[in-house]
Amino acid sequence: MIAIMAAATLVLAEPAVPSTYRDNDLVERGEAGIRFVSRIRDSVVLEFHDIRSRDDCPPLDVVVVHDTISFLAPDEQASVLAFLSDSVRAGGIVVVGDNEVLVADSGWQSVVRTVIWRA
Amino acid sequence: MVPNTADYVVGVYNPRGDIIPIVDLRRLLHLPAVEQTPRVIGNLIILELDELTLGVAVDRIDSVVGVPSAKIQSGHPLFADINLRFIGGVVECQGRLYIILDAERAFAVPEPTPTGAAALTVAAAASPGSVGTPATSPETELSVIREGLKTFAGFHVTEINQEWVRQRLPTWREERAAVECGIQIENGPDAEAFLTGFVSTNPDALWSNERAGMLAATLANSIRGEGENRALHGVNVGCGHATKHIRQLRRWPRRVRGDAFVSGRKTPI
Repeated sequence: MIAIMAAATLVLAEPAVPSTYRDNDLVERGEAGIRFVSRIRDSVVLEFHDIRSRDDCPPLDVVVVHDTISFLAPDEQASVLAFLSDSVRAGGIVVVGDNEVLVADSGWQSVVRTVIWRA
Repeated sequence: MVPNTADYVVGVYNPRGDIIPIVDLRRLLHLPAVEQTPRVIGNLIILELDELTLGVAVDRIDSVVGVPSAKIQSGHPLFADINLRFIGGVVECQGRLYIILDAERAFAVPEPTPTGAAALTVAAAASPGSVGTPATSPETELSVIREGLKTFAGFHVTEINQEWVRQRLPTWREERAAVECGIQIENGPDAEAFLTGFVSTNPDALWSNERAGMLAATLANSIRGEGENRALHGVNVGCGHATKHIRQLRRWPRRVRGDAFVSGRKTPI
């Protein structure tokens, strides 16, 4: 949890940073390595919630759930899919694993290959 | 009946060009026979025991379950009616008690190969069989794989991933044949080997140029025309404790929101 909370202040070795992050001025070189620029660090707020509690959350623009649903029991999978249906705003996107698919007739539209889906 | 064979050999079968004997478990285990006129061989389970391959006629294939060897307990005298020397143990799984047949011992194959899981699970089913599908049909193989992945990797085959699992089966079959093993997933390393290639590319690294570009372009297209500085809300659904992490990207500058994550490709979506 601490690692997630500190994700915005993550320090990476240069080979681990794809060029797009540097080309678009999203990262800078610090004393310990590459880190996100301050406007990124200051813009990100991380919160923790139990997805099973289905607590109120704002309509979501992006959900990243790759390689996760497959390791949940079928009833938990159904719960997560219901959460996605309820919480992702119209036009919002869901990123699943490279080898996972959302069932097309459940209201999701494949946008990029089968990785990114739109509500 | 097949001449000059034990009375429990009730016929032969030709699954892939190789003639194999069919064994009636009822006769072998001295269980009451089911009268069938004319004799119809129902469901078959194909067993590959070292160099011996044979078909076992069963009343029906009730289900296929994978069980860790550690959960298997020794046979109990209560099962004496079912020739105890053929019983490899008993195991409770999903609220049911299963009797495990020791296939190597029952069919007298010398030097049985140790396995982590049961070679054959006999479910408590007793309805007369009808012409059915051999246990090596693709659907049965998928059932075997499904149980193994669930038991040893916590991986559940559903609509989310079953297409990948189906596509993985042929190569898995080849990989297992190369090491003279069946397709069963018998332990954690087997499950890990089967799932090779399933996990997304570089799951622990920053997203690649291509992937970050795809997401940025899709997202930019998704929120086009909305307020300049609207906060974006995202969730990263975690596994294990099923937590979610809401990322509120506040005061997101238009440049970053619209373009900065986009790689040079800017592929139309």
